[in-house]
Amino acid sequence: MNRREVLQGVGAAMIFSTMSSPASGFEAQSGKSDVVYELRIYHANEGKLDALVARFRDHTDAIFKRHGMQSVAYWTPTDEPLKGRTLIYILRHPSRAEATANWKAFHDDPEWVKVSTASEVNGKLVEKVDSTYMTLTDFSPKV
Amino acid sequence: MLREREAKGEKMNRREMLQGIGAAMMLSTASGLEAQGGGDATGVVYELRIYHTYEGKLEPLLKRFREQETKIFERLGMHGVGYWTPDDEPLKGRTLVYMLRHKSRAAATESWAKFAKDPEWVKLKAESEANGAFVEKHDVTFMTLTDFSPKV
Repeated sequence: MNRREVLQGVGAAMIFSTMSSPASGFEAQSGKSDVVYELRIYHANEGKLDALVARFRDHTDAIFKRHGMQSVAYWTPTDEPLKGRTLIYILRHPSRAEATANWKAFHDDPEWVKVSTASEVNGKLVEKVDSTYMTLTDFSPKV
Repeated sequence: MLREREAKGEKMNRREMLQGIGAAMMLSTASGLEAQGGGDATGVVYELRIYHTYEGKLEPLLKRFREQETKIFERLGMHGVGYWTPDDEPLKGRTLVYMLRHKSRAAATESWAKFAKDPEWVKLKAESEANGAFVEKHDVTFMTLTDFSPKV
């Protein structure tokens, strides 16, 4: 690829940047994307899912955004045995190194410290978290 | 049905474009879904599927998805949201994670039934797995978006 093609590519990336996902933007800048996705499955303690969902709705998601952790989506399973006790979500991080740094910044965030403490005065909300870091396949739609 | 839905989404986009072109462009997917009523009222369900492959079978599985399987999904109304492979052990190199969006739970059941009988799929599966099955175990989880979730 010559310089002109690169510049054309950058121009196209800028034009498309408002239309497409941040993942495509990263790819255009670096040639190969460092973006990682993190699938997180929270198994809530008995009776704690509503409180957990409320904490994400009211605080956690906003704190994630502040630390560069982009939420792709949040879901709750519709069938037993996960129904009523599980929250599933996917985060997008600019890179794996940034994911590590972002999580540290999140845990140290004063709002998070306050919110998590306040929300668990009557007991922990989450029994277990499964975290899986993943990369989009070359044939995947961008998300 | 699909055409009707797309037409509704397009109509919504046009209305939003009058309010702000930039916002309408960024929200195109979301508004298409919200036009149907938003959240659970739409009946939209998401299906998280995790395929645990046999030793050495992830690459041929990915090839099958890349070249044909995802296209069969789309043809049968199953929309691929994203396809991923895990980066770390013990799942690395032996797992495919993907998510489909269906119009409803009933539509999901119907689409999978059609998929199983689809001539292209039947032929593709038989040919690709002539030397042995690809998937040892698969986990399926049907889900709905939370009320605060971004739309995908």
